Amino acid sequence: MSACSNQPQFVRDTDAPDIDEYALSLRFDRKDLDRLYLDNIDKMLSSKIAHQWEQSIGDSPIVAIFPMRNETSEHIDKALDTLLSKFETDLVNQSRADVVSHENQIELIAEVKRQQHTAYDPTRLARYGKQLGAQYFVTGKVFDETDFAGDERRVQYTMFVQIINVETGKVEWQNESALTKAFIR
Amino acid sequence: MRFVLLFVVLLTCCATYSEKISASYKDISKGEMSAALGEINNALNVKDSKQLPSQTDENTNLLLLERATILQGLGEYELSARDFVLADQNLGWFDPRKMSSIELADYTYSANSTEYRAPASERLLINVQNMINFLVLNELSAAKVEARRFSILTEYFRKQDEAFLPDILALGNYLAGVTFEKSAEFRDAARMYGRAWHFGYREKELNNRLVDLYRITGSITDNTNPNPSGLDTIQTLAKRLPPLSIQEYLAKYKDDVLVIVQTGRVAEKREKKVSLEKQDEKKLGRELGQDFNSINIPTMAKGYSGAQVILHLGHRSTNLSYKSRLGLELERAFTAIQPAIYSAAMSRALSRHLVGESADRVGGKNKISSLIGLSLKGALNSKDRPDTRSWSTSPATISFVRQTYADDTYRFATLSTSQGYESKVISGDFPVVNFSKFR
Repeated sequence: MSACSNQPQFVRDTDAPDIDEYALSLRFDRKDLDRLYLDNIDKMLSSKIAHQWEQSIGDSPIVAIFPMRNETSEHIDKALDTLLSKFETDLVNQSRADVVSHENQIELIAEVKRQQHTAYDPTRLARYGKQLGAQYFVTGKVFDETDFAGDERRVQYTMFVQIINVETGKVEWQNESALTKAFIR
Repeated sequence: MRFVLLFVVLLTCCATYSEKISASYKDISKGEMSAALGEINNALNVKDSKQLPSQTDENTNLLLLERATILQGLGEYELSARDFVLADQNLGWFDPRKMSSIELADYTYSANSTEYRAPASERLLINVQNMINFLVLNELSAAKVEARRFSILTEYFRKQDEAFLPDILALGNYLAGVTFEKSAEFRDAARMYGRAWHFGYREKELNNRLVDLYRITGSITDNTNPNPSGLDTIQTLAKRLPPLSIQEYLAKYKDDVLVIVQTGRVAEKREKKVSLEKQDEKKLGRELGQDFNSINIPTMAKGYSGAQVILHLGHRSTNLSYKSRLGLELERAFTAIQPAIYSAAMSRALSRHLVGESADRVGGKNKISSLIGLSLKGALNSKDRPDTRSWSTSPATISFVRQTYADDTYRFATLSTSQGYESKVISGDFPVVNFSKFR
């Protein structure tokens, strides 16, 4: 009867230390997210706008994490949320900015995700900012280029992480990262 | 010797995929979707549809496709989308044009023992079905992912041969158009709608919409020739009219509703013993040194064309304006590769005979060894059952109607069939309603 089934097993990272090393899909895994995080966080925290936040007198600037636009052919929205949460952690712990929790704005964020095309309409952006009580958004967008050769596939991702001034719509800081994943026989 | 006996046992132990889940196909044809779901969950070894299988095998991706289709019929769009995404991510491709006769024979006669690989029609249908899920859920970012995946695949298959699949290409591009239109990305919407027109959906509704979209975006260049389909005439008309603002466009189409109706079920594949053509019989007979007059090949059984449906928007009876005949396209694509499968079956018969001969030589005059040789031949015959797996819970047709729905009093759609009826509320901007429970 053994021909009818394989014998896979569940493992944890302490039993199989290299478990996070393998790419199992064309989407983002933890290793990809760590790489993208490292490529952005230092640049973000040492940016001109972050420096202004540090130097500002009086109330701390209020920053909200705003969903990234997924313009790719992969379902990476949840991974993008994770990446933003990693940025959020460092903004909370390592910057002077007050970070608005969007846990209480689930409906609003859901609307933004559904109607993300309108997120970059300055009037809408300002409305979302007002609703969240934010002066700045940390957000971004991801694009891809996908190629096939037989059933082999390559996805080249380009990610732009941004800090946007809610009132003016001005992009105060932006960083570009590239990452490629492939399925090869 | 123990190894050989074990090998013989292993070759003969498994029921085929189709045998395992044939009951669910019957349930769907009777309109009993919940029962069909139970059968598939049993085959996946899970308690309910919220669970994903903890162990995967060569049929897991196909079973996830079957379950996603049924969940969609039952209105469980989020779970359905999850299963489609998972299957899509892991499913291999079946592309017989890129396979040698030996590779095709190995795959065709692997029965259940190799990972299921989906043909072009099924690959495209996954993205179509998931676009439907995400459009109904109004999850536009995810719907756009599916639209892009569909578009990439379309380009890939078009380079090879688009002739077999015009209906699914028209349907998929139309839904991609809806997705980008709902997302207010009008250039992409115009491009996708233009492709839907090119592949054969040429109703007045789309004609008018394209004119208005071109009035917003100007002409869109695409890699299809606009002349044979008359798309150039639409573009010329749009140029003669004054430009249209996005606000004017949204106001004009704000009461649109898209109703999708899925009926029937595509044909299952069946194993069939067919007589060899005379010249092949002689050729194979010569090479084998014995009479050989038939082979087992996979064929398509008769599909279930589906129940008659009556659609009402509010209290008004409404005709469906486009019918995508997926079942027919699937049969056409399968018929096209039949000669290659026939040839592959012949090579397989020859190699199987040679293996049997080797077993005889190993066995020699020893009675037990001879018995093993005979068993091995029998087992190989049994293993030579053709692969009859396919995504057979898919609908035979997907139809739709798109029209203005200004009646605020009765915002619901009702579908009546001989199996039963369903009523669904129409709500939100650019609502999309799907019926696929009663087929």
